[in-house]
Amino acid sequence: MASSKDLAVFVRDALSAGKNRAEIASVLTQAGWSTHEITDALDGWADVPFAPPVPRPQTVVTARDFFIYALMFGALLFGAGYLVGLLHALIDHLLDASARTADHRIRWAVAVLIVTLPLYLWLATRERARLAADPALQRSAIRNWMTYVTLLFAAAVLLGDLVAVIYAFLNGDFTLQFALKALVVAGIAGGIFGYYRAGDGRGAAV
Amino acid sequence: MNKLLFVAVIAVVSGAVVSGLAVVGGPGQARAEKRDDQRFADLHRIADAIICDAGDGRAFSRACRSAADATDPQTGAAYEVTQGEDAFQVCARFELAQAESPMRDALHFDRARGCLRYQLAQPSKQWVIEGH
Repeated sequence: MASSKDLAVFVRDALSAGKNRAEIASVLTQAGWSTHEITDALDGWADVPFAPPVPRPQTVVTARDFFIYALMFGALLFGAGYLVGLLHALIDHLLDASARTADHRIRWAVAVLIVTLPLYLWLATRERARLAADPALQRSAIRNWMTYVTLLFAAAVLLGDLVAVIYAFLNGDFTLQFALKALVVAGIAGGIFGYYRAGDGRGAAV
Repeated sequence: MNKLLFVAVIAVVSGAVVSGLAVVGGPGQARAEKRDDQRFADLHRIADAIICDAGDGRAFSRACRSAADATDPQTGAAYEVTQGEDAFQVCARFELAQAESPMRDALHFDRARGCLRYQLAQPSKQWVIEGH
């Protein structure tokens, strides 16, 4: 059995030998490679009349990217979650000041935010500067994945918030307190969604 | 990350953090809360011990536990106990305003001095806590 590395080498050699792409695809199909694998292998080389074949840049997966973007994602997730918790506790305190039980929640949320906010902002500005200096880094596969995972989470939270509002309304629990809390969730999740969406559109998501 | 958004995010989060701290107070406040909780628990322990002794342990299914070691967590002073024939009270000096502490509804306050009061309910000969 040959690995996909052998496939890449074969395609390069075949292109160097002046075979055309349809011919190469046809023999590879006969050899049992899937259409998907063949397309990937051929797309690794630019379709220009030049010898030797010109390699195309590929999306890259690096451990460094994983470290930075997973850290940013975690900081964002925890920061946003506890910001929601903190604002909810403050709304409770404003509208119904009897509960002292929220004190621990507030202290914990404050501690989380003091760590995550500076961390996220620092990493985000640092990555932005790095991307601006070298646009080739935008091909990071992990960066794209993290952007879409963040969008997925934000969208899920927004939809969940909408469901909660409708349920509360039908259940007769739609109070001012609830409305404000739902608004906080929608504002934060919507903000993150909009930010990542716009960033992705510009090809400069951070 | 554009400047305006950057500033807005910092403003919102710092605003939330600062108002959070304004609501719960700093570490000094938290320590005072913990000492007050300790005082409240001590008063209950002392009252339990008194009831236990007075009724020869009848009112309790478990053994009487001594509350002799219960002293004020800050000053180390003994709590104030006033005992009569069919009523008693145990008192402590609390540090924080009592208005926002629902768990201490049972206490009778005279400024900082909060007391747990019990009386002997006549027909049943049981000690009951005196409400407001």
